[in-house]
Amino acid sequence: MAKAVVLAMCLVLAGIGNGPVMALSGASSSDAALPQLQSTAFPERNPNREGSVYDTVDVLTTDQERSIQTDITRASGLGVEMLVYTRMSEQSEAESQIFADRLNAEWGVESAEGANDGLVYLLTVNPLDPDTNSIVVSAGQAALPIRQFDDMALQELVDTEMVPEVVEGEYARSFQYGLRRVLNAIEYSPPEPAPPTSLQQTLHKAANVMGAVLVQFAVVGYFAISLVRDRRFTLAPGARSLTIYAVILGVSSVVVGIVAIVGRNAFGSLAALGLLIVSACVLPLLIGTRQQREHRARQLRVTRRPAGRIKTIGSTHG
Amino acid sequence: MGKLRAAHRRHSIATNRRLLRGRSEDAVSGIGVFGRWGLTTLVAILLFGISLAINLDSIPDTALHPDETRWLNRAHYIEDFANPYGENWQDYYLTRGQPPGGSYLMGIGLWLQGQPLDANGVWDFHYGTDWNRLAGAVPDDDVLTAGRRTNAVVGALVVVFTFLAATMLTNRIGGVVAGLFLAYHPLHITLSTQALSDELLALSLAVTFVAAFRFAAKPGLGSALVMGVALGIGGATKLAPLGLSFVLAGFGVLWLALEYRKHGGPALRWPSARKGVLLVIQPVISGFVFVAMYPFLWPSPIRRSLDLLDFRQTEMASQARIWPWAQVNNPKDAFMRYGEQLHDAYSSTRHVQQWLDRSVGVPIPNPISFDFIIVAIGAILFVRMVIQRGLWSPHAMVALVMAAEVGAVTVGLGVDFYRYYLPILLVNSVLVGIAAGELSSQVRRWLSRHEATVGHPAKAAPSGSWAAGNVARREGAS
Repeated sequence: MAKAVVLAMCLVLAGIGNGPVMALSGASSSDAALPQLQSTAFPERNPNREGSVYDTVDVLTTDQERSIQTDITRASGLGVEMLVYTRMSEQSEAESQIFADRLNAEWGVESAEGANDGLVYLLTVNPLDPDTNSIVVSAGQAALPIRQFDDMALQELVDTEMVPEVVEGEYARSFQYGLRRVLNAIEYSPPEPAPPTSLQQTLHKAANVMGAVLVQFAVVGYFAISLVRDRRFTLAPGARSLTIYAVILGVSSVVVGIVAIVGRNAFGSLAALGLLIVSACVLPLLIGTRQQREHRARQLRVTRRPAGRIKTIGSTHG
Repeated sequence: MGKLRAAHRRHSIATNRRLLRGRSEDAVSGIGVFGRWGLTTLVAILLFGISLAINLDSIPDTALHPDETRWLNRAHYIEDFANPYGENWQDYYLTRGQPPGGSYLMGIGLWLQGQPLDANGVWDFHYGTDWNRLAGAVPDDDVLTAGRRTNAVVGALVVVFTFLAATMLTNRIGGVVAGLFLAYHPLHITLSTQALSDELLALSLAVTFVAAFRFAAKPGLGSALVMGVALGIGGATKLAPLGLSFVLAGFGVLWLALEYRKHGGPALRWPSARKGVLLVIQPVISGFVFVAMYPFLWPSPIRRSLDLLDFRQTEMASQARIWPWAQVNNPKDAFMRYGEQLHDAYSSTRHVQQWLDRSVGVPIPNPISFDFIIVAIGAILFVRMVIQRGLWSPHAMVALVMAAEVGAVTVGLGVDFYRYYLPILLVNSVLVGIAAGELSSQVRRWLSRHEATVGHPAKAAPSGSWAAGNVARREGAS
């Protein structure tokens, strides 16, 4: 705040406070005790200067600059070039946007020549009227969307998180939000699913129908197979009928599942998965129980028969 | 072929007779189902209650771990499962980073407790807590506590299954000691009071131990499915258990090969080959469950699974680079770390001494840990049991699964993070239970002999037969 007051006094004393653009030269406060005024000409990028943080107003501490530079380097490693620039001016927000776009284009903020995919964060400080301080982001034509971070998300970020911090005078925090939200989107947000091919579209429709048929078969087939085999309707089909049912259901589920996966069809996939689990896990257990019961019933019949004969023989002899 | 069938028939008839006899004896003695399972169930419920109480009580004292926010952040996966080709299952850092088992658990836990499934953003490990809090990556206290409570329940279930495993391997006393050892272990308490996925992994392993015992005692599709599904869920939580299914498959191949050598071709036909075949298909069952739970893999199960393994290895190497003090260079180094972490840093026996000193007033000025002494005794006794009962006994099967898990952790341990030791702790707890169970059996035998020799034949006989009955039951299960 004190810095801003001193700067304002300088500008007033110099009598150029009404100029269209006021910018201060020098990257850090160690350059001069009092900031030197710079011409209104558009700045040229120094190709020998390292780093992408141009704090010409010196509103950031060395640590803050270092932290922002670390974020920019990280973004660069992930394929997105960024630049942070601060300037002193009484230009409007719209004019600042033009300035930022020009910086983006003329300073070559991009991952490769002609890529036009860089992001420039511009903070404009107006010491004469701090209420008009602004922050804008210029995104190259090919910069957005980054995963699901699109123009609308960027505007929301600026409006809801970056601008309030500038109003509070927390410039470094404002840049942190701007840079780190984008970093978060690059690394941790999911990409949009690829658009389906024509084959996938066809199979998607087919999987809907096949899924529906499969579900119907799962219900009807349980009764139908024993009806056809044993010529009777029962709620508890025999082990043999259940085995046939399980095999048909399992194979159909695999076929429908494959079609649904290729066609990216959620309904078909989930129906096939559920019924495959039924046919591979639930039905075999049911079949096993049924077999055990049938086996036990057979054994009981076997053990009863000799006893009957003995009695008959015994009674005959008796 | 005919001989084999006849042998099977004889075996099944004998089994049926034994079962019928058991039933009638139970009915006569009035023990019934309650006598057999009732006490075990009661003890299991008691242990569950103790462990849950300890865990819930410790939740407020446990510090926030950034990993908790990640698991809670992905709780929405349970909702996303209904949309398996949606954006959240695309190929990117978070889907490749961790399999979704733990996220599903958190999702179910939060949903049951009425908490939102999208409570917080992604914690960025490049920055500290201050920024992440500011960025909304730290969940509200309500959400965090709900996630931790979920894990507290899972942790208590792990104690129950540890009790069951040790009971099956020795006796109920061994089971209780194993359960209490785990319930009071500081590492288990810490992990049961954090919203992480490690307790789910431990639960899947403990269920596998129990199912493996059951399967070896009576090979059946049910226990084989439980084993495969548990390994699949474990794999969908932390990948490593998938490796165990291949070990079981190898065991099955060995069994089939030996049977083939003994009986020739008929040994490879159903149902003679049942045991071997059900073991051989373990990777299929667990692999199916793993892929089914993870929609990210559906479009290309094998390639993406390999990508996943590759990514995990890269992550492990990168963690070792970021935290050089935690780097584990080789299996020998890993074993040394087990000693440091599970004997020195976290110890049940020392924890109990501290508790006695603090809460009961028994002065113990220098509590010392002797966890590993008991574990070593348990391991020796377990090896002896396996040798006595043979390679195809339930004890050998559980020993194989336990050894494979310890081996997998030892070989794969790239970084010394406390949570990676939970599977080792689980095995240790079972070994402690074996030590206690065998000791109690020895004492019981000694007491019954002593009673018999001092001239109380009337008393000695039932006591001896009870002990002998226990042994016989175990042998029968073998």
